Amino acid sequence: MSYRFRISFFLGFLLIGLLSGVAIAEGINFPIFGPIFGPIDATFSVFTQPQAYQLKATSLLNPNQTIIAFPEWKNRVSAISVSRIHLQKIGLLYSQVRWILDTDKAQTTGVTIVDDCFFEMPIQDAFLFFGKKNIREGVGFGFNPTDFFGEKKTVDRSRREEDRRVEREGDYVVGMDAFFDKFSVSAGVCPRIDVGQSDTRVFAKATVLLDEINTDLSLHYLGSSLSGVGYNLSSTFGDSLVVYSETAYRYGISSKKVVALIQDGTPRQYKIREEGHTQFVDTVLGGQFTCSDRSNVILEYHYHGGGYDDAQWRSLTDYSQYSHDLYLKNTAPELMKSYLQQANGLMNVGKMRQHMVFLRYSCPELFDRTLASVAILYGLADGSCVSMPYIEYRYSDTVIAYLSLYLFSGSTTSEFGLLNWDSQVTCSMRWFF
Amino acid sequence: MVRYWIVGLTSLFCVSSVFGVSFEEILQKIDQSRAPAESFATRMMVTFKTDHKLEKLGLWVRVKHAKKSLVVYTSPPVYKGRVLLMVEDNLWVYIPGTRTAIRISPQQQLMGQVSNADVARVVFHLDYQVSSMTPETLNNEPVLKVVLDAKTKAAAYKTVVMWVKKEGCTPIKATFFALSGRPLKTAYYKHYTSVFGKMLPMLLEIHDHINSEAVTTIEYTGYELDTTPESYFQKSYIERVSNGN
Repeated sequence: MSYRFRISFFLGFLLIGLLSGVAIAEGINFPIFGPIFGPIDATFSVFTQPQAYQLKATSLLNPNQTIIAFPEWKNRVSAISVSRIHLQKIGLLYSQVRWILDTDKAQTTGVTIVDDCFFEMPIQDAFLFFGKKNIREGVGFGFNPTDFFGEKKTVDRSRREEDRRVEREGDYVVGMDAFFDKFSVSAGVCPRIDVGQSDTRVFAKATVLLDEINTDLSLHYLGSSLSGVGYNLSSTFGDSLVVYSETAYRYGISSKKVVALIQDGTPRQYKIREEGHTQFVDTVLGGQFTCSDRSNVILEYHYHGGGYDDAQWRSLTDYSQYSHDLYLKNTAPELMKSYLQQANGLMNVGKMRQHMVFLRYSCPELFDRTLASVAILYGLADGSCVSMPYIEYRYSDTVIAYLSLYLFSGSTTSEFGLLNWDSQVTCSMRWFF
Repeated sequence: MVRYWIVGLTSLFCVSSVFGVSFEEILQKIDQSRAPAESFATRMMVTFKTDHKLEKLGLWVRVKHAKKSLVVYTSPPVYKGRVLLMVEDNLWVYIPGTRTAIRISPQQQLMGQVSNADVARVVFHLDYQVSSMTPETLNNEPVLKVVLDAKTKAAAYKTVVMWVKKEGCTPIKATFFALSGRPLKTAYYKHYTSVFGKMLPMLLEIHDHINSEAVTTIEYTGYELDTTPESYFQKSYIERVSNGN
């Protein structure tokens, strides 16, 4: 059932992609569908994105680069189609499809990702929607605790924080948004159709502007194996400062992996198990200040209760260090290699520890057509950090290029120091049609 | 001290009564020359020009009860679908695809010398009050020099000095000052045309005081009276506006 469903969905996406590829100008009408189709508004963009890594000769998780073969470079070529097809008096069909070709030294792979393909039907002041939708929530830039649907999704981290979540695979969903004069409510269900999705999830949201205090507030609920309730708050002070807070209380079954020592001795027996029942708070407090020259500073503190605390982190690093040392001494090398492979699988950089700070300074109009920024993600628990300079040049109204750097620093057992590379550079050029 | 207050208040009274109208009435008349009605829609073409660059931005603006505005970017392709929402002192920007609107401060500018408030806020009386009014001559024409001071923290400028025609108070020229007192830009209101029985400028020419070669123009076209539902002017609705619902 689910297989057939996905095949028919894919064919639908393909059709919409082809339509949008053809209808690259606003307002194209298809005579055959005249009575049904309104204007088709479509954009098509192509981009190429070479990426290079400065690999460490040896690291805790990849001694002498013998555990995992990381590519020194890769290139991604993508075509992205975004289309809005207005169906007369019925609703809107929205789609965003990406065709991606990844190439590295060893191979070339292709994949089609559907970020969005949903139909939305207005019913008085409400909208009923169903299909695949990339549901995004949150007011934070560096972290989004209430972005429940995005926590396990892959995003292009070389892009600026505002843009990262734009191209992200969606979830199958049926839901409704209802609008009233002063507030809106949303609710929906994401049935378990995709095999990558662990369970059926339900969600609800209410949004209101508290105009007496110039603050907007939204309340969020997620019903899932790891459920959550949360809020988003943002407010403006004076003409330059925006402050915001985003918090989620999570409860249920966590899939976070923790390391447990089963049996001491030589070699030690370790087991990596899921944490199981848990409850924690995930919160962000941040501010954004804009100077009179339009440069902009963002500062955020993130407490991630679901991250590794000091004891859990020590278990992970002890495990990695032990496996690393014995592997190099050739003691039970196959077992140690499997331990190190598992440790590599646990890496989720920037989301592992509990206390993080995000700082970004950006100049949106440097030398007319250039946007420049530098961001730092700093781990308060271990003092490791990643610096992320970024420069974007708008060559014309239809061509944009950017250069993004990731510079990691920290001790060998810190979150950013554990990585198998010291830096990465990404350049990208994107053409809009 | 009391004497100074009495003298000051008397002077203010005299100045306003000389022209036969109160400060509030002057401001009201100026505002009437900027918008055809409390709720309306218009299209704008913003052109930013320097010696070495020319950029154009197409905007479609909906205003509700003067306090709420929706600004939709219609061109160029890189900005298309972007939406700016202003509800009283609150501002949000929506970038297509992000599916979330980001709250921004009034300081975050749109393009060139055009601030968010320049396109989203069509009346002065919400953010400014008249502090003085003096008769002057501009281009051999008798005008009134009206000084507006910010009355809210969210006002985009500390002071706006306007030169308006004595008859009808239609704006001719305005200089906008930053919090520091530094002049930022001077705008010229041109091509007055009758729209729904009111004379409105169809062209706003803005000269930058910091970058003297930079000139931004805002051309207004296609005014229409609008009855956009109240529910559209919400942060959570912006995505639909971007999608053309």
